[in-house]
Amino acid sequence: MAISLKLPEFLVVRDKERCIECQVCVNQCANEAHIWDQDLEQVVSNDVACVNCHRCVVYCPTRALRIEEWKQDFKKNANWDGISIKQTYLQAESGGTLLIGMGNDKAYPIYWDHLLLNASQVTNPSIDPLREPIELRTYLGRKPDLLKNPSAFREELPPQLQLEVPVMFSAMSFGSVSLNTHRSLAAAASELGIYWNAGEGGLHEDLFSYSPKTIVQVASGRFGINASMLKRAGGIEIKIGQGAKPGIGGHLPGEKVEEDVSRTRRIPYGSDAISPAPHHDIYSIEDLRQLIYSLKEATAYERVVGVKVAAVHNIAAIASGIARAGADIIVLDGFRGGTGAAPLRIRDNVGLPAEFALAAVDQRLREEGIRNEVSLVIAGGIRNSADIIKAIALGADAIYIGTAALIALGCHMCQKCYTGKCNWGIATQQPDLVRRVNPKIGRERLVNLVRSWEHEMKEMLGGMGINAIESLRGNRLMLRGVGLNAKELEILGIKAAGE
Amino acid sequence: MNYVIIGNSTAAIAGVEGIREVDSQGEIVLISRETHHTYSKPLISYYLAGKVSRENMDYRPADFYARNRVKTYLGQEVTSINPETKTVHLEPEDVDLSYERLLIATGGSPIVPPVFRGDYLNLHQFYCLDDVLNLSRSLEEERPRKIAIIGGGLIGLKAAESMVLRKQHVIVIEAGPYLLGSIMDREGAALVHEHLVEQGIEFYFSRPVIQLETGARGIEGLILEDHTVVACDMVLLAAGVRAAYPPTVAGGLKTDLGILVDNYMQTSIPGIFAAGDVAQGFDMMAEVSRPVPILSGAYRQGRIAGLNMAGQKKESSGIMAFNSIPLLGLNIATAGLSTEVGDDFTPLSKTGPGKIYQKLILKENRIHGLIFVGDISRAGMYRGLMTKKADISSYRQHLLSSDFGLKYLPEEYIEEVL
Amino acid sequence: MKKVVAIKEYCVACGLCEVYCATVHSRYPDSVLKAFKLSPQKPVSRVFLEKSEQWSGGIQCRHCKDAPCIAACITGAMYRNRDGIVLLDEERCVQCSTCVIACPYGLIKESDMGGRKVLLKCDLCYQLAESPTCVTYCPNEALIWVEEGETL
Ligand SMILES: Cc1cc2nc3c(=O)[nH]c(=O)nc-3n(C[C@H](O)[C@H](O)[C@H](O)COP(=O)(O)OP(=O)(O)OC[C@H]3O[C@@H](n4cnc5c(N)ncnc54)[C@H](O)[C@@H]3O)c2cc1C
Repeated sequence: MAISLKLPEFLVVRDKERCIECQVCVNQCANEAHIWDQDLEQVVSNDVACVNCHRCVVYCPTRALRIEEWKQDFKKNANWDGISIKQTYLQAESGGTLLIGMGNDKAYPIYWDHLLLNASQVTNPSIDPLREPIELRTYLGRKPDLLKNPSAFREELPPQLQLEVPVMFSAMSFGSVSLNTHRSLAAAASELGIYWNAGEGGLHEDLFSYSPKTIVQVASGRFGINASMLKRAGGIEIKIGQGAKPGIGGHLPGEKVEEDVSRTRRIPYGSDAISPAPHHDIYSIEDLRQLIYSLKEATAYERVVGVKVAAVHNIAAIASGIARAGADIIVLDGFRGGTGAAPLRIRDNVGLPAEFALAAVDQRLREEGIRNEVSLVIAGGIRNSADIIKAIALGADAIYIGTAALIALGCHMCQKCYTGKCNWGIATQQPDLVRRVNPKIGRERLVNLVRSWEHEMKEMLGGMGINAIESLRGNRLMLRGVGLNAKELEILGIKAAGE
Repeated sequence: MNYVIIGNSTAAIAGVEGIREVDSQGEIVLISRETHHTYSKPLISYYLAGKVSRENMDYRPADFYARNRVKTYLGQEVTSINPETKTVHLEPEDVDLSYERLLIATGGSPIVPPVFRGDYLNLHQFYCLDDVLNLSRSLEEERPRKIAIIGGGLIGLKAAESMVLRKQHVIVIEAGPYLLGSIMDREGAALVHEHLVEQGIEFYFSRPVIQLETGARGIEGLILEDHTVVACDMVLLAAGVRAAYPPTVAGGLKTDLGILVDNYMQTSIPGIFAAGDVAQGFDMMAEVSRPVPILSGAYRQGRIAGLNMAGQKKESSGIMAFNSIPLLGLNIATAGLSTEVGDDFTPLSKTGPGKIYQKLILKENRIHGLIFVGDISRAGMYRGLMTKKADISSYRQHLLSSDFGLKYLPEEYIEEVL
Repeated sequence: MKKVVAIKEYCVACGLCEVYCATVHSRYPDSVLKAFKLSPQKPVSRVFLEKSEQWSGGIQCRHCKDAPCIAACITGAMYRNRDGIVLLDEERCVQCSTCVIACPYGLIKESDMGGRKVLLKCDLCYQLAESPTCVTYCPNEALIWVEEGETL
């Protein structure tokens, strides 16, 4: 057999002074990077199997473990760096597409970090959120153009999603993530008074009690969709694209289609679940409109129907079309959006930053006078409460978090979701691994995360002298850019710092 | 309600505990021929071997009687029971005590084979605390060099162990063909034998003692059936035990090999209960009434008797014979019908490495008995399955595998443990 | 009476229950490192991680109501304390192992302490003010300490 040129990515550093040979690391590593050696009577490392997920590091009761990068220098070359060389070896050995999980990790500029928020000083008072109420409640959905009967001051509203905090858990399908992950997300969303999105794999029957707070997805594979499921759900989302892999479909390997997944997706046990790249019945805005109205018809116009697209170059025009096709919500998924599995080259090289997509779309819809007809939700790379406040000031109604939610559940961003061996029990269907997410703990952690953001958002709003998130929406005067060029500032619609 | 309990050992103490679970007021009187605070009989060999102190032989703490408000008559023997007048007669005090409920927990008494009947200075019983207190004194005073033990059963071998630990030379005379015949099969017994020979014990099998050679010191030699002469200068008797009935019971209790009791430990005379080695109750494995002279049986029966005496109807599902007997470092455990060989019984066994032997006796998809020698760590699980009369067909192939455990058992069983 | 219940749906089979149980019953109850590095004998756990393909769980003495081990104990060393906890007085135990065969779940184990044989069982950490150690350190709350009959 020809020698493999593959080198370990990581080095397992085991402090012999501290290791007590308890084998907890052996038990916890699904990749078998730790092995109990009968003859040596000690735990030994198989570094090449390590994915640096930190499961062992966290579980080691004596802190005997640390994972380091495997430091192997290549001859200095600004063009052919180590990563490029290693990827080439890998493909020369496997002959396959490089796969990866989670969002784009390349050093593209993060525009959130080039935006600064305003605060009140002297000329207008700031508000102390501990003394005065600050409103974060948000309604997503079409808003009427005007009061039909101005004297009544009441207007029948089309269906809306009511959010106590402008945050939702974004679509992660059952199949790509475990049922216990879904349980955690669903329970947390219900407790928080927000929505979670069950993704394109349908809704498991154990979670029906959470359906009022569930958004279900209609994607190109149409998995698990039926009339009763649509009616049961709190909201519906048509998924056209995903920020991590615009233009690409999905492929859940048959091994992951175990009994529960097969029943929930309504596909044969063990069969591959293939989501085609396009919806085969959508080739135009008119086709999309048909699907939107079919879904509205099926749910007696009582459900919000949104459309999720990946942020791509012509996003403003596309969004305008979607709004005109009758969507109640447009979800813009930026190129940093996460995924359970994507071709590496697509993930790393296709799409747009969510910040630009949002600014462009908000601007365009305003110009066309249809901004009120649709709510804007952005996804893809939101990391904290400041990102959210900036997004809302740029024009978003609410945001989706995916990766941040998974990190709250224990994800350590090893990017190996596609292997199905998630040591944190999140992106896996392997029963012994699924047990690693205890939904009771998962719910608590998600609730804690969102509640802590809620406090921070109120503080930032109060600092700006704003007492309702409504008043921040699209209020780009609250933003200034640093380190951005004139064109970038123009697209973002903001002034430069100091202006 | 007033209760009288005859006996001061396992069954009697369990009787007190059973009564007090239900009735905190009633008067309890406890009578024992022995003068000691309640002690554990099996510990006599440990005491002799110096492994346990006299204080630690107490079966219950010193304040047991006081805490349970038990009036004791220690050093008093019940010589008769009169169910008509509901009284028991005590000697030497020469009093009659009346009872409303009576528990007979007089245990067993050692069998003395006819050849040993007579007064020999160096012949010792090995059954109760006074026996070993005597024996201990004799060992120090007489410094015997060769001690013969009559009987290769559980008690005989525990006696042998204690003598070896006291650096004595020991000879065991067993009338049967192998050791521990009442609970052990030939293969298991062979391992035990091998182990004890390694520890320096000498054995004679299949030949009962037919005659004694006597001299100034008492017994000086044992003549076996085949005329072999075994020289010795001290003899310990461990030839078996039988029920120790109190001498007379007017009207007569129904007995077989022990006082017959029903599942409430009630004898043939209303108001009189019996428990422990003296009683003959239901053996859950053999599914017949027969004596099971073991400590846990005595405890279970005593407690059931106590509960029922105090008015709480509690039925026993029978008791199971089981034992664990470490002998000079070798663990031995048996349970249930461990010696059964009948046609319908299928043995499943495993040997080695070393002195390891494990055997299950199966019949109709149930485990009926077990013998474990060497490694007994999993024996409890198998005994648990026996108690439950569990159907083992779904995991039969895993029985005795080195990783046999909960994981092979049905859901209900697992739920019970989690 | 409060008991430790294993929730097999969330047990991650890590074995930390065993590590901490062994530690708290060692000469160095506060330090896993010292317990394992300095104890003359490897510390032993009284809780046992049972694993199968389908489930896992840390199991220990059930402190049965009608405890077979108490009935079987030849010395009286196995007893129930006022709180209902079945305890083994190691001072009085003569290691006859009758409890080992009496326990229907196999939860009393013999262990070698440097030539000295000892029998060990769960004591529910009754000397600690807080929950039993295995419960305290179970990283996924798969061991819980609840009143009997209470469910989640
Ligand atoms: C050396 C040895 C080792 C043993 N090892 C084990 C073992 O490992 N495991 C096991 O399960 N079993 C063992 N046994 C058996 C166990 O000891 C008995 O099964 C148990 O003691 C029976 O308890 P009991 O209460 O029925 O009777 P006993 O223990 O025999 O007690 C009878 C009580 O009644 C009193 N008594 C008797 N007659 C009268 C009377 N007429 N008036 C007043 N008081 C009376 C006696 O003084 C005594 O207190 C062993 C026995 C011996 C001798």
